[in-house]
Amino acid sequence: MKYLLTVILLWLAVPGFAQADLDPGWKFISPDDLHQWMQGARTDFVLINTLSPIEFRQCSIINSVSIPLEWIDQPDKLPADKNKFLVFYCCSQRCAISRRAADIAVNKGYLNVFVLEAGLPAWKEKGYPTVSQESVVPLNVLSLKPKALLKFMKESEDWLILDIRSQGEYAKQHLRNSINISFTDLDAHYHDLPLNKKIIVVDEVGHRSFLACRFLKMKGIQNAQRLFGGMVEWTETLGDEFVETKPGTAGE
Amino acid sequence: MKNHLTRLFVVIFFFLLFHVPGMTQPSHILSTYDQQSQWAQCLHCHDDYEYTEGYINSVHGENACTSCHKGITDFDQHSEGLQKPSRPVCDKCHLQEAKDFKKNVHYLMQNFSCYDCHLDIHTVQKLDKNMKKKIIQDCAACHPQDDYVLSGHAYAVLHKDNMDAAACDDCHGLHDTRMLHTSAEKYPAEAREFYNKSCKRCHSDEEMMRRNNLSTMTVREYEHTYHGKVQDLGYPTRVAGCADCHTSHNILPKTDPNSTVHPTNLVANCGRCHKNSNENFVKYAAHADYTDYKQHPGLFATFIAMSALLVLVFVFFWIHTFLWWRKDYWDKYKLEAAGMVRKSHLPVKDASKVFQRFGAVERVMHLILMISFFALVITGMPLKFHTTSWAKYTIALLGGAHNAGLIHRISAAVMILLFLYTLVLSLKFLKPAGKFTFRGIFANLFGPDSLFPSLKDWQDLKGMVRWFFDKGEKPKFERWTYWEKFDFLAVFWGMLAIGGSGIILWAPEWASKIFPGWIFNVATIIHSDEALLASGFIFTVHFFNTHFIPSKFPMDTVIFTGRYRVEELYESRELEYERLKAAGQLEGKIKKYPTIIVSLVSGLVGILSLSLGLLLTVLIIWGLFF
Repeated sequence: MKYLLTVILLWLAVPGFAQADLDPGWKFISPDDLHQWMQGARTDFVLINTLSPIEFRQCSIINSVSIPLEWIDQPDKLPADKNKFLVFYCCSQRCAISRRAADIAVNKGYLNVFVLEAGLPAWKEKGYPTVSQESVVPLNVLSLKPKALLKFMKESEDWLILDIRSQGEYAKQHLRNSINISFTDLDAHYHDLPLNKKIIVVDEVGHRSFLACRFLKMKGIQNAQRLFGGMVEWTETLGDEFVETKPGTAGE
Repeated sequence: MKNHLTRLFVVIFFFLLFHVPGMTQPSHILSTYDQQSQWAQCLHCHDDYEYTEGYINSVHGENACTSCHKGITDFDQHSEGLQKPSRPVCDKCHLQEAKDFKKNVHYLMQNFSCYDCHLDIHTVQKLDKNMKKKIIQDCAACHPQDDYVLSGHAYAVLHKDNMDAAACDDCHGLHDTRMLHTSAEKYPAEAREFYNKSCKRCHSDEEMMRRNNLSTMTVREYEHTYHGKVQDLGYPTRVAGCADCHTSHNILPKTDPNSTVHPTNLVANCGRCHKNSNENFVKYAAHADYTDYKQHPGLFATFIAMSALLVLVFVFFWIHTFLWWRKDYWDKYKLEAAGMVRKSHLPVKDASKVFQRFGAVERVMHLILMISFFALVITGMPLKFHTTSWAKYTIALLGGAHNAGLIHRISAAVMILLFLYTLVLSLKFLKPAGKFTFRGIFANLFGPDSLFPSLKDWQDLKGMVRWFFDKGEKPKFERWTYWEKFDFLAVFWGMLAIGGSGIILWAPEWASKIFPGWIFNVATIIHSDEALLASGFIFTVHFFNTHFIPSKFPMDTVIFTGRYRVEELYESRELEYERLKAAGQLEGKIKKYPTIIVSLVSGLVGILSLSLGLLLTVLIIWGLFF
């Protein structure tokens, strides 16, 4: 009986603990609510695009500023007033990047942190306004599925895998012999890439590599291709094959 | 006055001539003179082929350059590079496409604009015949040939000129290519439903299928399977849709060794969901036409046998029930019309005593049986009649097909345990009181308390039929009438048929260690038809025989209270009364009248169950005929 009581008490307590653990300190905001804020319902907020400058210039929500995830930690990027309302957004429905940015902001002591629910796609789907400051020229980008890429890698040496994820993510797990230039730094470092090799751009889930390839092609690196579905698709299809993992490496 | 009117008409005529929509040129199409002069200006610098001949021969050739490239107000400034036109917008003319495009995954995720796909926008031609080819080629510029167009539908379009075969847009949409594409991320259920519909749209088009030498039955056959039914109920994530077995791109016929549905690949293919898939397991027919006796003789035989069983049982018992009702009602009416009251054959003192017909165990067993039976019918019938609106509503009410399946299996387990307990009780009943002899067993088997059929039941049946037609007295019954014995024994057959097939379908991977996979098809037919038989029988025949017969209408609560008057015992089972009385056992079974709580609860449970049963009957009839 005592045992049973303990189990029941524990069972009742778990959701409480879990709740405490899970509360990230920031909240989701829906596109509708954000649009209301923009219409004047709230004025003291900053809307922050956490993607790379290239993506920001390609398409962003009006009146937003660009602070890529990797730069959020840098001093003077976020406003000095910790009471200021911050809204982060990125390009994925999962909001992985903007959520990480929001975590950092919460850690820094910001009190009113929000993440735009389902990101830029949801905003666009609602038909709310966006702005394009500089569009990358239209060019086809071929995608390779993991199996095709693996075959290709085994057959030839004329390739270079470019991982455009953040340094932290890259350090945790990446494809063997790949190099890392984060999308945020690509603007500044693309000329380090060789012209005589096929560049295969790898990201997390395949949403960002397309634009990265177009950018590279526009800059004259015609051999850029992308990995379909990114690292997630690779590990789901091929598991650990060609993957280097460094357990215990500090992430972001 | 006349002159004024004529003038007015002339003015109106010319006004209409120039102002009725469609009769004048749209504003963006310039007169030939304007266009040529402006074009010539642009061509001074922009003199590539695509802006000269290529453009003038394109579908947009009638438009001026400035129809799309707006915002140049000063020619000199533009030629010096100081004034750039704004980004061309296509939605001024292509309204629907622009609207669709707002939902396009390429726009939402990658910020595509029109000319990201229409790269040849200046030389674009009208493509009536080769539209499909062009679409495939354009999509394949990014989505690689190997993965998408090397074989299957796209190959047939590109290399066999088969315009029935699906191009990319036939499944994914053209300007409204859905976000579902990235299904793993957010829309697994919607994506499956969407793409299943895409497949079904063409594959249920009989004329198109005939034209291409493909089966016209594929979709209908699939919808008869468990996979198809659960899909149709709106819960596609846990059962196989089209693409789960056939893959989504480069789909090959099953004769091709590279096809996922080629016999050599079936174990692996089914094994993606059914972990213990094996050679036996994959003999299941995922699109089985059970009316095709040449291809599926076993299924055909099962289908015929089950149909015959249903027809025989229902025809016999419905006629029996109707005749009984007729006789009972007529007799009752005659008595009432004559102003008579049915006279008791027993002295009032004896008749008003209360007799214990069912013990506590029997009543509880019946209650459990009832509840589990209702649960099975409520959770099972929506699957059988998956096309009806009530099926979808019921499943939604239960919280989805997964919950319904769980309740169905729990109830089935309860019923199986109950059945096993009944078996134990039956064996105990057969065991002779004294020494264990076969004679003793037989004596119990055909004794007055047995539920096993005997010669007397046959004579009783004949007697009843004679009585139905006013040709004789109503037979006198022992403890169990023949229809009660049928109710009891039918459960034994039913449990074998419906329970056995149910267990096979519950754990097909295990069942495949003993049986070949087509037994799942057989089990599906048996389970489904037997379910119809059981519920139809209980809700019509059993309900009538026990409750709705005029002398007991609206219900007989003896199965819940366990007790009725000795009068009733005498009226309905005279032989039992005589036997107990002669043996001096009657007094031992005389009890007090049920308490008010028992009586109230029994009445409530009875009314609720009968109403629920009748409601389910209506739903079943709806499912069968509408």
